Amino acid sequence: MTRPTAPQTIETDVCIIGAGITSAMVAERLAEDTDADIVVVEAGNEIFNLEERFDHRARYLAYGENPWPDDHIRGQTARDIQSRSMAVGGLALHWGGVTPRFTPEDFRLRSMYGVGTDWPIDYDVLEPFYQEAEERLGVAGEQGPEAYDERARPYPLPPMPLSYNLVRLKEWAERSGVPFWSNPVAKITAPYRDRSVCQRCDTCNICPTGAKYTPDLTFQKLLADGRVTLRSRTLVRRLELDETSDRIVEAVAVDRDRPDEPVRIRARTFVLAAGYAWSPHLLLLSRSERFPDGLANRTGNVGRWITGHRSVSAYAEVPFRLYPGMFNGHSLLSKRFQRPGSLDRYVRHDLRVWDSSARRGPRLRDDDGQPLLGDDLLDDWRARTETGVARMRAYYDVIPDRSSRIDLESGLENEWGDPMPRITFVDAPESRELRPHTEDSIRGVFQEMVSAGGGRVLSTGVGEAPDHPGGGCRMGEDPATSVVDSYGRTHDHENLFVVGAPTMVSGGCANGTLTFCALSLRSTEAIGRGV
Amino acid sequence: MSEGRGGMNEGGGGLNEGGGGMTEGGGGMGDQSRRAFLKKAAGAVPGAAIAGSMGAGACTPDGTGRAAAERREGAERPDGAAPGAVEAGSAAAGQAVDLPEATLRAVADVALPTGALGPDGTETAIVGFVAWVDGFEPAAELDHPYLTGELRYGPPHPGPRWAAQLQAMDLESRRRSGAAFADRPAEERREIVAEAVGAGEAEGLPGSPARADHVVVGLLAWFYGTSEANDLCYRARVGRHVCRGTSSLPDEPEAL
Repeated sequence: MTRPTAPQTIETDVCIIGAGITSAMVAERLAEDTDADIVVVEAGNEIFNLEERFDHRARYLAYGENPWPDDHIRGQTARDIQSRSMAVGGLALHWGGVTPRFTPEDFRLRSMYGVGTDWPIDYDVLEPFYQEAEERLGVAGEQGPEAYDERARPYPLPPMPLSYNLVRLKEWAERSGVPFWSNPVAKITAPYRDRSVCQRCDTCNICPTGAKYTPDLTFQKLLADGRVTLRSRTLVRRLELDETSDRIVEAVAVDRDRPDEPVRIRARTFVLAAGYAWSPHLLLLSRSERFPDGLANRTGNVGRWITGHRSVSAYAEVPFRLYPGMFNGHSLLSKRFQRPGSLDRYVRHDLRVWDSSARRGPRLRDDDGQPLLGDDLLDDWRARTETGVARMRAYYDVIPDRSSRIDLESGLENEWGDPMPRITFVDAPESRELRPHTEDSIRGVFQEMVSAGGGRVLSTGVGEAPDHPGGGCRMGEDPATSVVDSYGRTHDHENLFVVGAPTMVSGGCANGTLTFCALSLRSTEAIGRGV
Repeated sequence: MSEGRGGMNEGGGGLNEGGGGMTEGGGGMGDQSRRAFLKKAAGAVPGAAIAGSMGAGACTPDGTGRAAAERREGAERPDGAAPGAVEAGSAAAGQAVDLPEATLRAVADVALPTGALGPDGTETAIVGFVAWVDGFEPAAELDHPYLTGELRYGPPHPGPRWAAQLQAMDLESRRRSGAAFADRPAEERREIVAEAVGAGEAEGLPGSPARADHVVVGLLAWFYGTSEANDLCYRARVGRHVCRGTSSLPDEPEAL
């Protein structure tokens, strides 16, 4: 049921705030495991438009237009936020569908390497939930060498085939002694649970067939089965405490279509699934006499330890022809450097290789500055593409300082007068100290690959802005240094959970979405016990 | 499913074959229709760009007409601003822009790789480009991918500017040589087009054709962004952005 016309007070068992990928995981699992009444509240729109996605894709390809119309809310933003996407599906509407797991080392940085902070759980605890997340999303993957790619059971789907380009690049890259394999992706490669099989449209940010997982697929099924109520275009502005205990009793929201009639959602359990920026933000907005710094924030840790990873990348000329455009979105992966064994000095990173058309595009002028026209332009382009280009990129985790945080920005408010988040990434001192060594090491790996395989490095670069941010409600056993326990239950409020990215202790060396999903599924076991 | 960028695989309208105040062709354009065209285009480009020489002036980006119509790129629109508002006289969303056909074809004949394309491929490219221009929506909200919280909006409609540039090329040709641009020999047309291209600074083609200052660069940017152009370069059926399944992925693309 969506867009009710009934009075704006809702009673339910579980209120999930946010309708992104972690919300979809929680809602689906709760619907299977319990008879609970579930309401999902999302500030943005529903974009249930699979039948229109080819058209939107065509406009995107032709004109660069946003292929997800109305996927954000005017004025609901923050400086340096990773994405403006705010709709049913969240960032996972236009994500690339890349789903590697973290490695065991990511959970034991302090114990193993003397840096960062250990998680309150280790990889073995999360492993079955990784498998479950892969099955729910439909992850296609290739088993890498067991020394680097530990898993208990096979991937649910066969790997995305390597393109001719990646086959050539794998041969080239592996001359360095580093093994590579097909990157795991949440894209259907074989018939699976009534999902569409990938047609290699190569616009994974707008998959026109539904082969790439997007959360709207889950929500539409849950709605069709009558297992959840989805309340879209409804922005939760604060959470209210019970008068006599620390339980949360109510979410107060604004219906964007009926802003004069506040929406009140009363539930036994509340689940914040609004992402790394908006989950801590809601807690900070929810101030009260007993919690003057916001809910779940007795120890001042809400919004703290925002994590992420930086990237070091390179373009390299390779001494053979490639054909850009075969399947640009797919890549090779190696976890060799995520699992380095003992180290004299900490450095860990993933490693991916793509084919690229960088520096191989058509040009208007030749090397002498003379205009190229007609068949001369095409001939010039042909001559310059006799050799190919590889793009290499490594993510390394940035160990956050406690002052790496989200707080409230004075002077920047949404239309309802709520201050917006202010996001400030700060490396921990040990991270700053390690940074030159880390980045030099990665560039050294790139050079070794080129020296072994042939060619030359054309350029290198560093992506400053931390990618795949998380944290803000980090998990831990000690309330003095964390906001939630390992299940996402807040230390301060027994019926309030935070799931997904905000609970991360570190950003890891890889895309974090599969890890967010696994954590959320584990959280659901505790959430379900309470209903 | 065959899929191509910018309508390369579709027929399309927008080439003005006569009437509507924008007729083009040797000796056939009446003063009345030319004045009507100039009046229409003047709202989008400074007058000097039309009357002046076919050099930097003709390639000058929109002047006075731009500020009111254009949204600041890289910044969010002010709250409450009406989407797609454009100044009168410039092309609004959905309004076809008439590119002078004969001049456009004569430009394409020397700018596009007609030897590789052949007559049919060249015709398809011209039709596709015109369809792309026709389908352009000014100040459209652009894709906002990861790592940016900013909303971006596209440029104003390039059509009027480009139409005026084509018109100017033809006018100048007539003044200098007494012949329409389309009637000049290929070598002379190539010189004129090269002069237009040479006036800019950037070496590469713009990623977005709409941001090209000159119609020649816009045409080239559009064409070379197509899947077909990519195939021509690599002499193989790569089929970029064509939804074609994964079974043939490991195979070297078939030669054209």
